[in-house]
Amino acid sequence: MSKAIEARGLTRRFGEVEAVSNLDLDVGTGEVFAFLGPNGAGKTTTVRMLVTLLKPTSGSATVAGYDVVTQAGQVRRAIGVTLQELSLDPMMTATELVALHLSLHGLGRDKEAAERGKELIAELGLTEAAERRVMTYSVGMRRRLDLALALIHRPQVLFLDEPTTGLDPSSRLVIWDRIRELHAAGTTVFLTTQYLEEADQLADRVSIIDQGRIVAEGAPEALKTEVGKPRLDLRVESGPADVDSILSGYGQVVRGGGDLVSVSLADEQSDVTAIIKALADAGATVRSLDLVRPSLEDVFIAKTGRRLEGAGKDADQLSVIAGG
Amino acid sequence: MANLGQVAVLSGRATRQSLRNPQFLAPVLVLPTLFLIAYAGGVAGGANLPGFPAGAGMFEFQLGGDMLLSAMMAGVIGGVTQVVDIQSKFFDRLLLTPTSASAVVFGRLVGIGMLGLLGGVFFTVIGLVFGGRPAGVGGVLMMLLLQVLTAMGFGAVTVAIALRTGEGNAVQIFLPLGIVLTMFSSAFFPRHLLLSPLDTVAAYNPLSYIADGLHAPWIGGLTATVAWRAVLALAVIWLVGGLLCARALKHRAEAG
Repeated sequence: MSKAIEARGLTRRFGEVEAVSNLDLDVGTGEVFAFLGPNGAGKTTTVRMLVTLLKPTSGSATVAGYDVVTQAGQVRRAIGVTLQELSLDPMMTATELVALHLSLHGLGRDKEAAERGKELIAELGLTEAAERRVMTYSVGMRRRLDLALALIHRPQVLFLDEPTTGLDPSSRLVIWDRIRELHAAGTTVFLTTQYLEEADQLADRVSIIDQGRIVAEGAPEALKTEVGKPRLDLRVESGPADVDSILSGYGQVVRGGGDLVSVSLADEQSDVTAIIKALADAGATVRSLDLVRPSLEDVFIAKTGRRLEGAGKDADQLSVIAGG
Repeated sequence: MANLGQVAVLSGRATRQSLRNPQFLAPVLVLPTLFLIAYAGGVAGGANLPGFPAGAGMFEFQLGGDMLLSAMMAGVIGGVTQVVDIQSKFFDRLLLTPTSASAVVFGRLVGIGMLGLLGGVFFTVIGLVFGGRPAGVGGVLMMLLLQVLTAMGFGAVTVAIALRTGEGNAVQIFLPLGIVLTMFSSAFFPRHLLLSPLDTVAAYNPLSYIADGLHAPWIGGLTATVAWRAVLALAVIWLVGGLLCARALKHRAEAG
């Protein structure tokens, strides 16, 4: 697979602080690549270097085959970007912003591009608001307009810097659907996020960055498999049975609060039915069971020793399996 | 080489940005109008002093000074709007297009020039309505051109500061500073009638020569010398502003 983004030893210092340290990246063409990390990890600094807004202190990077320092103009022709902070003029209308961007991309007289602008506005649900000034838009509408502007010139590589932060669930789903469509159409997407679920749902590959360094990289499933095995959480009325003894035959047993007991499974193909049957045969009653798979939060914890701050409910809903 | 079409689009957007914010228009139109009312009325007797340009009243003389003040305020507002773009990250969005950073900044400066032109037209109309008679179409065109170039020159300085600092406070200091600089020039009173040391300060203040160029069509005395001195003074301001802008852009690209 050809590379849409390649970075070698990419480093950015601000005074004494090394925001991004010796970063190597390879993103294949057509891939959705998620850059996951907490606030201040270096995600946005990396994006700003890759999109030519910030010069690296050292190292090199290419985007769509162009050097981000020496061929910045070509890079900007090839990319679409939504920044973490909404970058819209609140006094302009969506129609005016679309026209401005088409002109700045040299497509001001391109009727097909103008039509595409209208279609994008419509697809993102902004047609009725298109003639209103952006200052009257909700955050979700602004995010969608921001995305439309990033897509208007059909970029080869799309950078989305925390595109759903602060959005309501329905607006987030609109953005997710759009990313999936772009992926299907072959656009390379470089996505930074602090939402584990977002990375899990959308990305072909994930890179976890912490304190300016990449601590893990790979396909989400591979990363999760690497750090932990699936776990069966059971709530059991023991009766005469020695539940722990029975379960220990299937994997490591950990007691939770009350009647909760967890057993780590060798893999997802483990025979859950056999466990239930063994417990029943011994006189125990299984009141509930939950097969818990490792999450990207678990990967983050395993690699950094702490939870991913800002992961919000997504993280809270995911159970933690530390270690193997 | 900046694409002229893109510069035109960017300057149109910059002009609309100012026109859609009434608070940006007030310093360009209202403030100099208040100066015009105060000076033309309050010190009208100054026109009777020996050596005051013959055949001109204080109102006609003040028009040139107020046009200069208006152009400077347009420049300051240009810096303020640049800060607004930086803080809203819209400047980053513009830089993310294939348009060069210098074209983005030049588009802003042309927009500032358009704001200066608005002030120029406004005070020309005020002058005509209240009896002023500029020296023909050529004189009016020269005034308007000087107005545009002055606004752009000062705009280059304030935009450079905006690019360097990203701080509104750093740019807004030019609002009172611009008024003071204008007071220390021959904008509101003929230089040869100023007392020492103000007359010496005014002689070294490039604003005096731009003011002379703006006065001349209203009070008579439009000569080639007046014109080229105004252009030379503008060239100094443009050179300073241009160099500052170039350095600020370079700094911004490296510092992010």
